Amino acid sequence: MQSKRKIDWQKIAPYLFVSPFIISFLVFSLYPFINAIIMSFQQVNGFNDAKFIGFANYKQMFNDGDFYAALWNVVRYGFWTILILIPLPMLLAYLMNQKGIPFKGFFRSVYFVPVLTSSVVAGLIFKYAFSSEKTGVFNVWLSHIGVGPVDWLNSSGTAMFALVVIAVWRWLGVNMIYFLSGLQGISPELYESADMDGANGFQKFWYVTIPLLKPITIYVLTISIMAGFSLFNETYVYWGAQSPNNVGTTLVTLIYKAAFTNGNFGYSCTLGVALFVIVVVVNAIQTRAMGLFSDEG
Amino acid sequence: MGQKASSRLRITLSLILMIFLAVLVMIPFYFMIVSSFKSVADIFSNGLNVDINFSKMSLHSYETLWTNRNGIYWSWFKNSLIITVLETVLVLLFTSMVGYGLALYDFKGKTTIFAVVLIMMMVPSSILLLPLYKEVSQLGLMNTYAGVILPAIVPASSIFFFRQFCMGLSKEFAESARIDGAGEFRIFWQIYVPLMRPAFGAMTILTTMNAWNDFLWPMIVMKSDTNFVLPAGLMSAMTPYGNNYDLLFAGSVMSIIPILVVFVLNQNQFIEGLTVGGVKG
Amino acid sequence: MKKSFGKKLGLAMLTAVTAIGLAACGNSSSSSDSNKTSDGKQEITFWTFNDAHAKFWKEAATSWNKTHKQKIKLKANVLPFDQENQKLTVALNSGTGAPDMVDVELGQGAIQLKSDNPPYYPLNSALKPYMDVLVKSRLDNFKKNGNYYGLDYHVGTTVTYYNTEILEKAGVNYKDIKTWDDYVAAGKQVKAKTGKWMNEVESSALFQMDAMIAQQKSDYIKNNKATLTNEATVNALTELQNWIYKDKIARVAVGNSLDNDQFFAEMNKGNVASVTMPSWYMERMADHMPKLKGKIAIAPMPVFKDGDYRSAGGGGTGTMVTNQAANKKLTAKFVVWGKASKKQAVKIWEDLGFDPVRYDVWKEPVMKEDNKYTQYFGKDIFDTFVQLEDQVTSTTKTAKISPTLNDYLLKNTLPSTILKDKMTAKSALEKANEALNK
Repeated sequence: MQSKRKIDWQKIAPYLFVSPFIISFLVFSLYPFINAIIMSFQQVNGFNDAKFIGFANYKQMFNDGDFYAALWNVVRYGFWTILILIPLPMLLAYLMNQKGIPFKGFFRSVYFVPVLTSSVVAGLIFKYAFSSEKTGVFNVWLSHIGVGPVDWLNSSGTAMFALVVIAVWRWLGVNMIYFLSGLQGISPELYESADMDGANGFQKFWYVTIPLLKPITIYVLTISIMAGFSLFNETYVYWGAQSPNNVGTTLVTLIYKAAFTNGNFGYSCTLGVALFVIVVVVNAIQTRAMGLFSDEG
Repeated sequence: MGQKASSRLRITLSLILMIFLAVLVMIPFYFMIVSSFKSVADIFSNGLNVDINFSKMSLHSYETLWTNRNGIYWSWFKNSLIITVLETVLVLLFTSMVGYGLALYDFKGKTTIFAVVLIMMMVPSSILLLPLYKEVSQLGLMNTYAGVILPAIVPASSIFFFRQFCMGLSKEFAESARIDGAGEFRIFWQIYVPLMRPAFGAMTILTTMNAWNDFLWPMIVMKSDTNFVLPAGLMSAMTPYGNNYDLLFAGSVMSIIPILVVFVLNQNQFIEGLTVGGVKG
Repeated sequence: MKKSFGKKLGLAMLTAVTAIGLAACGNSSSSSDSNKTSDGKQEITFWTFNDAHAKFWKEAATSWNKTHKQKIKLKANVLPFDQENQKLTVALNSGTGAPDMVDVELGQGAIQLKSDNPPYYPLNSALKPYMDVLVKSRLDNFKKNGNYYGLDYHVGTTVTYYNTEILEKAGVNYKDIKTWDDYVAAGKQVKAKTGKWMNEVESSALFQMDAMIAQQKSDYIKNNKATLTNEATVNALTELQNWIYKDKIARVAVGNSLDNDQFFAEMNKGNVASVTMPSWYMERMADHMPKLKGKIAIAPMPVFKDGDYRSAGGGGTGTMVTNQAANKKLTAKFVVWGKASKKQAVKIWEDLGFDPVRYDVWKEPVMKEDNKYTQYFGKDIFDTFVQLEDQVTSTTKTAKISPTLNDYLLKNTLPSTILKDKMTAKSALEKANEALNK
């Protein structure tokens, strides 16, 4: 009798645990999401004035040169940020987690401060640093090796560099915290037994740390892909809504402009749906490759 | 090479890298702090720079913060604090539950629900703005803290994080506790929540940060500018039309401090707190 | 240890849940939506992105209440520039939550005059008594189907500001500069003798180009079509491009525009001999270029040929009454009175430093009285403006195609002509015209 009741609870419990998500999903996500998808097929002309126009918005998008420019920008940005913002914070977390490192708390705080800085203020400062003037911080550095001055923000390659620099500066500490928390879950015994097998620091990092951080790595990778494709703030503080030859145009820039400069919410939603589909597809491939839905991920 | 010497070398090398990165990271911050002690006129006349000239530097900007527009800065500060605290606590409660449920139970629909979590995580928030606004206003939640907070208390990304963290925890504890007759919620609360401390630590910090930095939604829901949050208020100083740059630098320095306090207080308690076993592998 | 952690967490969560409940109730009950206050005052909410505008309208409400029967209680909210536009766009599109009156900058989407039913209330009847004394071209910026939907703060009379200290060193008298050819010749002299730039050219804004097109009595939009290939537009862009790459009297503006903090520093340091910008640039100079106090002369713009206007209207922020206003008629009256009545028009100059749309006050002696602008530029600012009052037309900014055209010019045309000398102005404009009229 008693054991039967227990089994029932064990069956019901998971649904109770996930219920906050289901409620929030039904109340606050589903309606706006469906609404946005509907709007992507509409021409919206202000309050109570929307009409269905079939796939016209989608057609417009595929004929929009800016769309491809934006896509190319976010793909490149995503590539570079992931290339840097996963290994570096992971290594940093590993280093800081070693026994005998002094001032750990201080270092963690330092790395974490950038993300707390107002993005406007950060943008203002970085714009000065990347100024085309000889007095800009980066041009001063370059002048020591006899190069420059470079007009950083006005051409494609250097503009991407400026974007990646501000992203790394801002998110290094955050990703480090994810990995640090993942490292706490790894039993010290594993390192001890690796020690006994005579493993050196690098081998321990490679054979113990990286595999056991896999679930967290998948997490960081997934949100990084999403963040990469959704890039906006950093470009907005550098260039605003218009950048020369689209060097800073992203998908969200286009979404923002469609809605808030052109008042075209329909097209804005179309671009949003496209962004959504792209991110889902890329992450589906990624998570499948990493085995997220298996028991290990 | 002896064990000790090699570990000392390793630590030295690690420290060099850490210090190098820390210096790089702090450069922009240094600009910000120096500028916060300067007058706007000085910043604009000479451009942003880090020349330190004590005769021209003062606490004037910080004083302006408290007095400008009848001390509206305090009001923003207070709103930020309320919203951040409420949001963080609720997010932690709900998403840890969901993440735990998804990781440690096998049940029908589990994969579907997890897939929905992931999918909702990837919906760009910018396209939800207008429909969510309509919905919140139909629910009569405009101009309330509830309207600001409720849509944000079960974020998919946080569920995903807790789920990922819990995937690393062993199910055996639950099974042996069940044999001892413990209820399901007690297993979660008394066994797994403590094991999830590092995850709580990270999520406290990150949720606090997100809630503190997010200003568009609170600004759209709240009617009056005295009810805005700090970053929104600071941004209104940053127009080409006003000349409130005074506020901007000092204000951002001041807006970092509360979160930094949360961080400094939390990090040791949470992140380093747990080294007991209970981990699979 | 384990237990106490769980307990602490539980307690914190419980407190939070209770608090959110209380906060929700407390707040919604206090925000009653009655728009009349208990003493019969009409409550009017106002959104702006500028502190000074909020203060201006609060004081306007106080003066209004002294002379009008229906009293007003003004609630002004200052929002960040971009976010005001976002909040307003969302509120107008969802039909709820908009303020009674609002400041909208000409370039912003929320101006929304493109739809057949703009979400604003026409000011026509409120404007009627003042029509003769307002600069008409400034009203046209906000006109749609015969209705005026907004009233600007200023005319934005475009003038050339000369740094007389640099010009003197170079032996140039700015009063002799009548045409752009004179200007370029003077610029070469300045460059040769002092090494300073005569001007810097915007690559991410259109104030210079717009003014040069408008002064030739032309425009780049007609019937919602781009007309970028007309002679005036080609002239304007060619002139700007030549300054940099042919005449070498200018360079691309630091920070890519003349209205940004990096350029303010550049100008303030005395590296630039002149700048052609609308009247509101006085405020930027007075606030951000303290070293130039007493050194700046204000003069009409040089012209391309005889008969061109010597000025143009630039920029603009209209105060609009939304169609969600509680008392539209009263709000419209208040908005128009607040800017167009004589006393208020003078206050626009005194408090905000703008040339008011009501131009008959420009000749009043009160405009020469001591304030931070007359201290900076001298007492005869309006003597120059008065000469230009009938010449302040501007390029179209509120056509349906405007945002797209603006976007295209800034993204493609200026980068390939101003930022880099890749194309001639003519071919770049032809390309733009083709793309926009596709």
